[in-house]
Amino acid sequence: MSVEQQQESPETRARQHWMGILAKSTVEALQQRWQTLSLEPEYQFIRKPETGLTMLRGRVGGSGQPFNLGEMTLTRCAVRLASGTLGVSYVTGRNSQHAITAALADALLQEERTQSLLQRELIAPLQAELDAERQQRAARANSTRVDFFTLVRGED
Amino acid sequence: MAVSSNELIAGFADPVQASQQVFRAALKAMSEPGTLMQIDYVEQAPKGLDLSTWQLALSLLDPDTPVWLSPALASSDAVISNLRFHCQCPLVDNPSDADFAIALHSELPLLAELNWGTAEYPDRSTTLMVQVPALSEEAHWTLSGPGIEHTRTLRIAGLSEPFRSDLIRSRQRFPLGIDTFWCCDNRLTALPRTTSIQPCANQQQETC
Repeated sequence: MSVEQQQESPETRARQHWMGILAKSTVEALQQRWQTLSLEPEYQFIRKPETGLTMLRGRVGGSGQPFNLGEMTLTRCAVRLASGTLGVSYVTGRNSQHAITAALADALLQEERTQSLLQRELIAPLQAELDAERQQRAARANSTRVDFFTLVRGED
Repeated sequence: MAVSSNELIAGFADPVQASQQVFRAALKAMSEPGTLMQIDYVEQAPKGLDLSTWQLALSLLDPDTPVWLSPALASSDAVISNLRFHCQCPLVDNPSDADFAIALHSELPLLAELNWGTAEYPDRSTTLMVQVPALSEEAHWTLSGPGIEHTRTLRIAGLSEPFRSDLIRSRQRFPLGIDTFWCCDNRLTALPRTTSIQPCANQQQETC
């Protein structure tokens, strides 16, 4: 069953959103904010952090034939909180602490008690940082933009 | 069928070490058929599977091994969720497509339904893992063949008479055949296709 076929509920989309942010943030930013929250939930590992490779696939222009771009390292982890909620993470790189923190945050974000706190104190600031960095990069690239003017060469 | 997250349990605590230890135990059971091995590398198994079956699954199954489950296991959410999550093995409906078949003793497939391999590649046969109520070294069957110096005795409880005679008869098609693992609680043994089985004389009448 491919991802496209699955019905996406609003909860699924919200979870995809925060999992994406947890995975894309830098370890330092995530750890720093996580430690200030000092939640320290009880948990057990369902799958200990394990590092492997995943194939990145792309499509030329976003709509062409899929091709294999290359492989990247990925660390995944699954934890279960004492309350029974399962948290899952797939993060880039080989930092297992990043994967554990992201999995714990994912689990706590599914619990009503901690959801709004984490959204406010963890996800929102991390997203702001990611957006800021993205804009900065876009601005840097934009300053080097060259507009090409093509003269009509009259070959019709 | 999706993975239901509330049924997931932990796999091996130390996957690299434990899966190799379990593989070593499975290898020993296969190479010295009828030896009872004890494996204790997990604390719990999904509901419906014995500890030894679960440990064998964790160390032998992966995305390249199609698996067939007997009906009660195939309808158990705990079993399929954990197999999908930890082993990522494809589950097939047809036992002849499977590299591994996992069955309860009460709902064994017919041996003829499994894949026996081909004359060119007899190794591509289905390996059958059966969960039985009891395993012991009582003199019920006398085993002989490669890996057994003289003879060895084994009792596997809970097998139906037709299945037992099928299993004994299946030796005639060597090199084609079905290799079997027998699991009970945290113990396992194996009977590869090379092992010939003789029912012990005094036990022949008994049905168990």
